[in-house]
Formats: sequence, structure tokens, C-alpha cells
Amino acid sequence: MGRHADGRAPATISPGPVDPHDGHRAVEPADGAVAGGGGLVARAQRGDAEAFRALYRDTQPRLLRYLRVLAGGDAEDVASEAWLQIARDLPGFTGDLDQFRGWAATVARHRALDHLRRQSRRPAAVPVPADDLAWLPAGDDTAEGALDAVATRAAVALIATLPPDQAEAVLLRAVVGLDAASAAAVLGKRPGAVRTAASRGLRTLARRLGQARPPPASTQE
Amino acid sequence: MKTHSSRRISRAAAQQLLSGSAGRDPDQLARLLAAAAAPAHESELGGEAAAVAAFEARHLAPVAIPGRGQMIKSPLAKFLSVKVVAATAAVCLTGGVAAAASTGALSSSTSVHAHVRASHPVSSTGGTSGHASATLDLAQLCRKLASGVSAADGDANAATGQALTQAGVAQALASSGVTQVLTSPTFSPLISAVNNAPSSVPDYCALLLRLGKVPDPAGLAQLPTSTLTGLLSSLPTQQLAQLLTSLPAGALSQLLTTLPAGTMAQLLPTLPAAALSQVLTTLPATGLSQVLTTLPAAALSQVLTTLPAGSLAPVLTALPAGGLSRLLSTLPAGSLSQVLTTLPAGSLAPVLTALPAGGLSRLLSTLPAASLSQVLTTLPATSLARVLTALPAGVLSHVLTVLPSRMLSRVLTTLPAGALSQVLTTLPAATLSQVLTTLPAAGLSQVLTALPAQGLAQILGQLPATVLTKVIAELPGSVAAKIIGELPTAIVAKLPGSLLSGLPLG
Repeated sequence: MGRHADGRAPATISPGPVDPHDGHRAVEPADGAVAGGGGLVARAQRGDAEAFRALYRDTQPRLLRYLRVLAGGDAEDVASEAWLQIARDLPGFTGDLDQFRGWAATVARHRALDHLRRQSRRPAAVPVPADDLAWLPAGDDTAEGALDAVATRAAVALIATLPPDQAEAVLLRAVVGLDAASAAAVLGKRPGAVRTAASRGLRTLARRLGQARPPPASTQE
Repeated sequence: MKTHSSRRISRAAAQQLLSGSAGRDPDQLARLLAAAAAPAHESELGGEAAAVAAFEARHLAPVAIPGRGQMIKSPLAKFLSVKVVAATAAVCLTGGVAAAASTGALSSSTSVHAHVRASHPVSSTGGTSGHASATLDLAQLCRKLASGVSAADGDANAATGQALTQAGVAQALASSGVTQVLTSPTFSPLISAVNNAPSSVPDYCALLLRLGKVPDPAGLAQLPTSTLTGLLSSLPTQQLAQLLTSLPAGALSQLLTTLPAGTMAQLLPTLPAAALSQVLTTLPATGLSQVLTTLPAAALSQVLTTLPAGSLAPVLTALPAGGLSRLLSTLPAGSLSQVLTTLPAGSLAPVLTALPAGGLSRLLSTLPAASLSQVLTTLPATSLARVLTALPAGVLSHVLTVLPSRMLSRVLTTLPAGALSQVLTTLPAATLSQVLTTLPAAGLSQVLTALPAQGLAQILGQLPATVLTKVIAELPGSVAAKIIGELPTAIVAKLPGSLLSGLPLG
């Protein structure tokens, strides 16, 4: 299971045209009338429910995966709360799709922290499945569909085992799709601190992956 | 596309990985991140309908075109109504949109007028298909309405055009003069917004302007549900708490039972504990039962575990037995433990004894040992007897064998003789053996001497000879002698002579 030349490029959450200025993909509006994500946000702000739906489909999976770190098994509930607030406050928001994701992540984070305060404890982390590394599609298995929901859950669960600041930095950058400055704004930190936390997190992950490379057919752990 | 070798992660490589531009590098870490950022899975989009519904409820607040009497459906109209909502939000700028305000998004919009071009016939222009322009801002119309009423009521300030204070607006909306002023066509958008029921306009305006209370609490539930839902969910927590706690019991009950479960689940858990307590303890029993049993498990857990003991007790004891049973069986074990162990003894007893046997069984078998111990040892003797004798043998066995020996002893020695006998004779032989051999000597003595002769014979007669011997040997000599004296000879014959010879048998 070495390196394979046909390893897939990292997938991003939504299919759609690449937004040229930062490499993040933007959701293609349902009617194709608006090219940029900013147009989508603006349309939703004007009350276009389909545009809002498209924003939801783009951003919800990102938020949900990010929230696993903060709210564990309650991530769905917290995400729902966040969307109610997003729906409420959207008219007052200014920005394009990337900024929307950053704002949505900020809302989600606040709701998660409120949630934790109410619970007055951190929820039990979603346990990483025993065969948490078996999902890693070894070269030959990276066929279409190999990166299924189980793989995503396992990957996010593994990232969530990092110290919280590192896990948040990695998820905001790699999954929510924010640049270091936007991720820093969500976390209320300096961009440098976020870069450092993310790099540390990646190093730890790489080390764990290297240690626990699963055998191709069966996994005993 | 570039290929990166990222066996060793440099800072630059890390940034590339994080931005998803690691190219075709099949490194495990890249694959991990790719999996984490994989396209949306259907299972993640379960909340889509609810989110879109919330969006629509807020952005398509029923703004009807005067004279048409129906909801606006066209995209243009949606656009217009959103402008109205946006303007309203801006006028009522509060903490909720502070984030947006800090970006400057609202900096120039505190006096936004939404321009609504509504296509409707206006006879004064002479054309039947002419497009009339009107400046429409429901919040502003509400203020205008209040000024009009105030002026009609002879308020000098309003007559001179000075803006009313919030209190002035509240006073004006509560005035009987509203009906008269509302007859002006100027205010027809307001009437349309409340499903053409002019009597609902004052409450609608009070909610829209966030006055903290409504002039006609009894009429609140008459507002269109979607409008009500939208307005209530947009209120900041403090305002919502203020509003709900200002309502009299009847109106509160009507309002809360009108709201859809999803809205309730969203609203109630946001309330601070004091307001939540007041709201729930104000509700009459039926309304309370309906509200609480409507809530999904997560929201219910949150609500009940938020309540301080002083309010939790009256809330739970106010519920009818069926509702209480349903409600407690909805709670996950953790919340259930928290709720039951929070209750003071005086309330725990009526709650548990009110439960039907099925609900009680489910509840006691759900509780973890520690909470179960606490709950059972908190109960006074008569309630404990009622609770334990209501349980079927299987659950009773579970309950008694889960308890640590000290707690078991406390529970059994608390029971009055009749109940004790009933409980012990209900137990299957194996459990009975376990229970009796678990009890410390003192507890065992107390339990066995408390039993009436017949119960004692029945209970001890069930035990295998070895267990019986162990039990008797555990007892102090005088007690053992007394008990053996009460046993039929058939049972005594099972005991080894060595045990009997050491006893002061009469």
C-alpha cells in the first residue's frame, strides 16, 4: 500500500466550479445564474430559499464535522441551533461564500460553547471505531465511493483526538475550508498561532498514521 | 498539478495540505484530510428541511399586498419582504446581530427604509394596472400606528411629532383607540401581516418592536403560527424570557401549546433557569403536560436538568400520572438520574408512587446503581413499600441485587413487615439467596425477626440447605434460636446438627 500515482486529489465538500481566487470550491447555484458564492449569499439574503438551501448543503457538512470536536455526539443538535441563528441573522451579514463559512463557523462555535456551558461538561467524544484506521483507502481501494461516510466519520474522529486547539485549527483549515486568517478570527487567536496549532496537529496525525498502518485485509486492533 | 513529497511535514507542506492543495500525493495524511473533507453525505443533511423552514419562516413573513389578501409568492415579492425583515432587524438592532454590526454591515442601515414596489391597483392614480410605490416597513408602521393612537388619545408629544418612548409605544398599542386608527388604509399592510385580524395587530407590533410584553396576552395565540414562530425565535433570550414570564397562565398555556414542537425545543432550552422555572410552574397541569411531552428527548433533558430543585418538584408533581410516566421514560438514563436525585424527598415520593407499575419498572431498571440507591434510600417507609411492592418479580430482583449491601440493608430494614414479607416472597429463590447472603449480620437479623412466622417459613423454606445454613450461622445465637423456634420442623431438619447443637434452643 505504498504510494500510488493514481491517488485521488483531496476532495472538497461540494462539487462546483473552483473559485479562482483561493482554490476553494463554491457551490454551484441551482439555476446557474450566479457564478460566485457571494452571489449565492446575496440571493439567500434576498429571501431566495433555494440559495439558502444551497448554502446549507455546502456549509452544514463542514460545520457538523467541525462541531464533532466541540460537541461530540451532540454535534447535530448544536448544528441545528446554529442554523436557526444563521437563518435569523443572515440579513445582517455581509460577505461572500468564504466569509459566510467563517461566520457560520463562528456561530456554530458559540452555540457549541453555550451548549457545553449548559451541560457544564464536555460531552463524551464520539469513540473512534476500533478499526479506525482500516478506513484509510490504500492506493488500490481509492475507487469511486471508497471515501464514504464511514471514512469521513473515522477521519474526523481521529482528528478530534488531537488536543482541542490543534483539532479545531486542522478542521477549520482543512474541512471548513478557511484560510489561516479566517480560522484565527473564528477562534479569536492570531493567525500565527492557528498555523502553528494546525502544523502540530498534522505532525501528530502523520505520526499516528505511520504507527498504525493497517494490514491490507484484516485489522486486529 | 504539482506533486509533493510530504513524508516529513514542513510548515509549507502543512499549509498546502490544509488548503487541500496537496495535489496527487497519496500520502496517508493527505488521504485522511481528503476523507475528512469529502463531499457531503446524505446522513449529514438531516437538518436541511428544518433549516430551510426556519429560513422561510423568517424571511417570508406573511406580508400580503393590501387588497389581495394572500401571501406574496413571486421572487420579487420575496425580495421585498426580506427587505422589510432586514430593515426591521436593523431598526431593532440588538446583540443578536452584533457580529454583523461589527463588520460594518449594518452601520448605515439603522434608518433603513425598505422600498416596496407592490403591484396592485390604486384608484387614486387613475390607472388600474399602475405600479404604485410605497414605503413599507412594518416596524415603522407599528411606530406610526402608536403615534397615531397616542395623538388621538391627546398626547401632546405625539401631536407635535416627537418620537414615543418604548413605554409610550406600549401604552398606545394597549389603548382602545388602536381599532379606530387602524381603519386608515395606511395600516392595511399590518392587518394583512396578521391574517386580516385587526385585533392581533397590537400584539404583532409589540413582538416586532420587542416591547417585552404584549398588550393582549390572551390574543397572542391568534397570530398566524408561522409569524408567531418567526417573531418569538428572533427575540433575544432576555426579551423572550421577559415576554413569556409576563403572560398569565391561560395565555402562556395557549401560546406554548400552539407553537410547533421544533420551535418549543428551540426556545425553552434557551431560557435562563429562573425564567424557565417561572414559565413551567405557571403553566396549568394540562398545558404543562402537553408542552413537556411534546419536546424531543434532548430538549426535554435540557429543560428538566436546567430547573432548580425548587421548581423541578412542583413541575413533576403537577403532571398527571400518564404524562409523568411518558416524560420520565423519554429521558436518557443520565438525565433521569440527575432529575430524580435532584428532587427533595418530599417530592420524590409522590412522583414515584404516582407512576403506573410499567413506568416505575422501566424507570428503576434504567437508573444506575448509585442513583437507584440514593432514590430508594430517600423514600420514606410507606412510599418505599408502595414502590417495591408494585414491581414485578424480575424488576424487583434487578433492583435489589444492584444495590450495594449497605443500601440493601437500609432499604429492607426500612420496609414495614408486611411489605418486607411481600417483597421477599416475590423474589425467585436464587435472588432471595443472594439478597439474604448479601445483607450484613445486623440487617439480616432485623429483616428476619421483622417477618411474621408464616412469611419467614415461606422465605427460608425456599432457600437451599447450604444457603439456609449460612444465613442462620450469620445470626447471633439468640436470634437464630428464636427464628429456628418459629420454623416448621421440615425446614429445621435441613440444618446440620452441628449448627443446632450450638444454639440455646428451648
